[in-house]
Amino acid sequence: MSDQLIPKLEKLALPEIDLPGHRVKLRRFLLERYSGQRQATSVFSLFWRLATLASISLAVLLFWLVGSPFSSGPDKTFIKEIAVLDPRVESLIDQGAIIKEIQATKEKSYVLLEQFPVPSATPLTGALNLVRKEKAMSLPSADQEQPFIAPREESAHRLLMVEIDVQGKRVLGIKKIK
Amino acid sequence: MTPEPEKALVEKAKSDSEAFGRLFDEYYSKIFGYVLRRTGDVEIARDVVSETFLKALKNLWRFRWQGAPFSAWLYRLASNEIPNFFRQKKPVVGLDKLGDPVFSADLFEEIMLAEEKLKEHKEFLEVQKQILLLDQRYQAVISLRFFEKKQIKEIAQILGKSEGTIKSLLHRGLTKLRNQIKA
Repeated sequence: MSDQLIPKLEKLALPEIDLPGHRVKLRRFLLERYSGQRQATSVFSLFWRLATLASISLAVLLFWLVGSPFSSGPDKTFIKEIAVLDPRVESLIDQGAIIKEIQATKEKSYVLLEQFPVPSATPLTGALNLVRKEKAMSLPSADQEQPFIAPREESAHRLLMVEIDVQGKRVLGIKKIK
Repeated sequence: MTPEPEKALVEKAKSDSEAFGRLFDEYYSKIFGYVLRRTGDVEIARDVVSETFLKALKNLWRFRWQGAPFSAWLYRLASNEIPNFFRQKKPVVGLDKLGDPVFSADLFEEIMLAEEKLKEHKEFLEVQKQILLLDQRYQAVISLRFFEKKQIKEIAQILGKSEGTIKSLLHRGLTKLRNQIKA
């Protein structure tokens, strides 16, 4: 028998039995389940649709009230560049001022500069003052352009606010802050 | 059923009960026949087939075409359900869940008649009894190859294994079956 196993298996008369009653019953049962499942799914999906709609509405409302979280204003480096390219600010920085803070908004931005007190006269500053005096004496013209920077108050440091027009890429003005 | 209409019907069945009913009508006999020839027991076949189609209904939304026909998926569900049934021995979709007692009595009679018919296939039952002693993996490949007349490629699709693995399982299964019959 063992040598003829495969031919035997191939030629075996197979039972072809059906259960028509079970088929009808199972079909009905499954279709009832199907409707129930669909109903549950549609209630569930309706809930999710409403939840999604509510979330989107809330996000839009927040966006409208607070503004986009992704566009808080121009880049601070860009603001700093505008400020530093301005000759007045450049001159202040040359004199030892440092940028303390940058506030960037879409229209106007601000750069806060801090100027430190100059230490008491040294032989070098004394020499520089002497040169200045000499210059002033040699060029006494009244229409001589006044430097933007007022003479230093050498006793205390001060804060300066640089106002920047972001759209125009220029410095609007520099104000002292008390 | 040819692949394209079957594909369309399966997609429709995901949202249309009537289409699901048509799939059921198409495959009920094939799956019932397969499970009956695997188990050699009408009542077990009835319960396993009920479970198989219930699982098909629950998981139909997950079904994705991957080159195998829908019937391969049903055969796989049924193949997985057979060992599950023997482990649990507790059908979820028993007769009580399928309807009223009067109809259940009709079903009982139907099962009795089916069992009588099955007893007539003595030679088959003799071989089937030996196959049942084999590991489930060998039972599945031998049954699909010789009782369902499936090609190696189809068996591989049904069981989710490579054709080489199926050939190997078939060879080993037949050797074991031969040895059992000899003994």
